Amino acid sequence: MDFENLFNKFQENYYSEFILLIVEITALILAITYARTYKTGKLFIIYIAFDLSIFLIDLYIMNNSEISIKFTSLFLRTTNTLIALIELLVYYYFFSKVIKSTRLKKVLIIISILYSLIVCSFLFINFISITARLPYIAKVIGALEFCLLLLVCIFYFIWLLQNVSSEPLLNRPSFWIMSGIFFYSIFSIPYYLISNYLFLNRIANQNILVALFYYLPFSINFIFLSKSFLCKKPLTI
Amino acid sequence: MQKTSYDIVIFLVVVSGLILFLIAFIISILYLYKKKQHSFVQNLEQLKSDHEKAILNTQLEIQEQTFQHISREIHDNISLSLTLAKLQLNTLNWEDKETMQEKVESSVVLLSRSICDLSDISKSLNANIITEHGLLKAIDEEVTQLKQAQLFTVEYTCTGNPVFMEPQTELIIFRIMQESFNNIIKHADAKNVSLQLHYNDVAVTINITDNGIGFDKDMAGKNGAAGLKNIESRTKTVGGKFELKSIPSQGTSITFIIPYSNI
Repeated sequence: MDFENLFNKFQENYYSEFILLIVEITALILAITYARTYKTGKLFIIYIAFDLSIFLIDLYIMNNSEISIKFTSLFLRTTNTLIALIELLVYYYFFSKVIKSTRLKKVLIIISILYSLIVCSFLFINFISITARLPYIAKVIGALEFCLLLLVCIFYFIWLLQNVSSEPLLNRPSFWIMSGIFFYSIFSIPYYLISNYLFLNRIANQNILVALFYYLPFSINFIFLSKSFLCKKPLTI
Repeated sequence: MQKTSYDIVIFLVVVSGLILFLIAFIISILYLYKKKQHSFVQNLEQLKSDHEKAILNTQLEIQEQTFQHISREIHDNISLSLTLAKLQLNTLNWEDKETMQEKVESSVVLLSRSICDLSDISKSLNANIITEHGLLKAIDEEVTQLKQAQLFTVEYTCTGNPVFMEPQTELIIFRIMQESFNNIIKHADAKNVSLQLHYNDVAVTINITDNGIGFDKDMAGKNGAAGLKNIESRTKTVGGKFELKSIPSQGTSITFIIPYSNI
């Protein structure tokens, strides 16, 4: 692995990847320290660890000149779609634990199953055929994930205002977690939908677009997750 | 070059706009939450105050009933025994030694019974045992007294891990149980009584069953059944549930489920 190349890559993206890496490692350490005793905490540890390992592998592959561009794009598409699925499942599970409603749980299960089927179908197509539309489909699947998460976030905020407790809002881990994913979703939906078009048309300042619309909200999501772990309370409160 | 700068400006404006929107959104949520939380806390305090008032009313009611009970006991038993003893002692004939000895012995018996009755009343009224040793010790004492009275056999079991509640709550539970036992003594004509306590994670379940004459619940309802209504309202005061099953000539079973936290 060429570290000079890696450093140049970080510089090109205004160190946003490096910031994400640091923030993600911090979130993982805080999750292991403060949230490992809770079931949802364990789930978030698995999610962050999985995300972090994929991110490191992505960095390695992207900065290794021996690996072909074709393999790199296939790998990135596959891992990004897998992360999207895991992200959706983790946040939906978390949400079902916050709002204890059997009807809502059924709806979340149905959506999760449908989304899993879409992801599995995409992964199957991804490995057996090569079409120019695959990157675009991958981005649409990503955008769909954030739309589904955004719906849940809006539902959470409505629920929050209807179920007030004596606990200060800023001390409630669930508020930080849902605000983080809300923030991330709001930025990611337009980014996922237009990024492919912008990259294909070789628009100027692609790096700043990626830094501002992808790495920045993703980092903020992890900062909010870290704050929720620092509340030192069960995450579903 | 100009186009590049223009793109950067657009990106920055869009990102700043989104960030500002999100900050405004979060601040609005915080403001609305705080506002609702304020009224929620006020409601909670009102509920707590209502609950405390209800507990106080129940305690006053219990106190009033206790006074009535003392009055009745003194009038029906102790006063009668003492009057009789006084009468016997007043009418002592110093010349008739044999009759005098009989009367003195009878007076001693009457005085001893009065002392016992007073001691029983004192024990049954003393709430210190609850505050000092808790509900279980008070129940143990009560069961011992019932066994000594030999009116019926008493089987007492306690399962689960005992949880100490507020002394006020424990006192009300204890009085509910005393009222139930009084009902059995007065009306049930039972031979066997069983008392079961079970502590689980959230509540204590108390079951009192007798094999007495039982009664028709509908008839009891029509006749007022003030005692049962008292038991029911006291159970509600401590946030509990009350269930009564009775079959004429087969017996009665009363179950209370009292949560540890009653608000």
